Amino acid sequence: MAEYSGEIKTGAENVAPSRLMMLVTVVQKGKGTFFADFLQTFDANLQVCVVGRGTARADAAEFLGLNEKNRTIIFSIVSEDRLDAIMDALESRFYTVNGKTGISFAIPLTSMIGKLSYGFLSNDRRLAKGGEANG
Amino acid sequence: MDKRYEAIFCIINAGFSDAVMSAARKAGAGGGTVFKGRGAAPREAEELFKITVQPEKEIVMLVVSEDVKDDVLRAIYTEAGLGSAGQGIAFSLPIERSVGLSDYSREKEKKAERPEDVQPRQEN
Repeated sequence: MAEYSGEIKTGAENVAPSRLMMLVTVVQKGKGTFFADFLQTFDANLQVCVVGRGTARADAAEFLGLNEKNRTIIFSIVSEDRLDAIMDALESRFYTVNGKTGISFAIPLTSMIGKLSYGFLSNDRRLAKGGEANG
Repeated sequence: MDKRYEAIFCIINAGFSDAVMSAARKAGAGGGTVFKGRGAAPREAEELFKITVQPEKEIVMLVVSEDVKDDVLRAIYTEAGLGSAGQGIAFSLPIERSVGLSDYSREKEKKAERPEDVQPRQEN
C-alpha cells in the first residue's frame, strides 16, 4: 500500500470519467422491489431500500398517485451517463404501473475515494480486475 | 427541468417529524417522507456542545422549490432546531434531475390560471 504523503493531488488524474449521482426514488410500499430491480437494469449496483411514510397533503399525494401512507424509499448510486435514460424510463414506469406511482430525483456526489469502489458504483467493468490499485 | 428543486433532509429525534413538517408547510413546503434512523455522536462532542444524542432518530426528506428553500430551512431551524426538544439538524442538497415533481406544480399553476377549476361555477 502506498504511503500517504499528506499532499492533496489536483488535476486530471483525479477526475472520474463520469460523475456519480445519488438517485432517491419514493414509491408506494410494495412496489420497492419492482423499482429496485428495474433500476438494476440501468447499472445501479448499489441500492438501499428503506421503509418510510409519506406526509404529503391529501390533494398532492393523490395527484402523485401516492394514496397510501407507507412508502419505500430507494437510494441508488448511478453514473451521470445513465441518468437521462433512467429518468425517462422511470417517468414512463410511474405512469404505467398502476397510474402515477412515485417521484424520483438525483443529487450529485461531489467526491469519493477508491477506483474499485468507483468502478462498482458506476458499473465500470474495466475497473473490476486487478483489485484496488489506489485512491 | 424548468424549475429548480432542492432536497431538504432533517435529522430529528424520533417523534418530532410532525413538528418539522408543520414548520416546513408554513414556509411553503408541500409533502415529505419520513423514515427511521439511528443517531451516534462521540462522547467528547456531546460534552463540548452540551448535546445529548438520542439514538432513535427520524429523517424527514422534503423536496422544495429553490425559491422557498431558505424559508423552509429557517422555519425548521426556528421550530425544530438544536435548541428545541427535537434537536433537529437540517441541510439541503441540490437536485439536478427529477421526475414526478414538476407535474404537480404545473397542475397547481394551471388551476391558479383557471379559477373556475378551483371554485365551481354556480348554476341557476
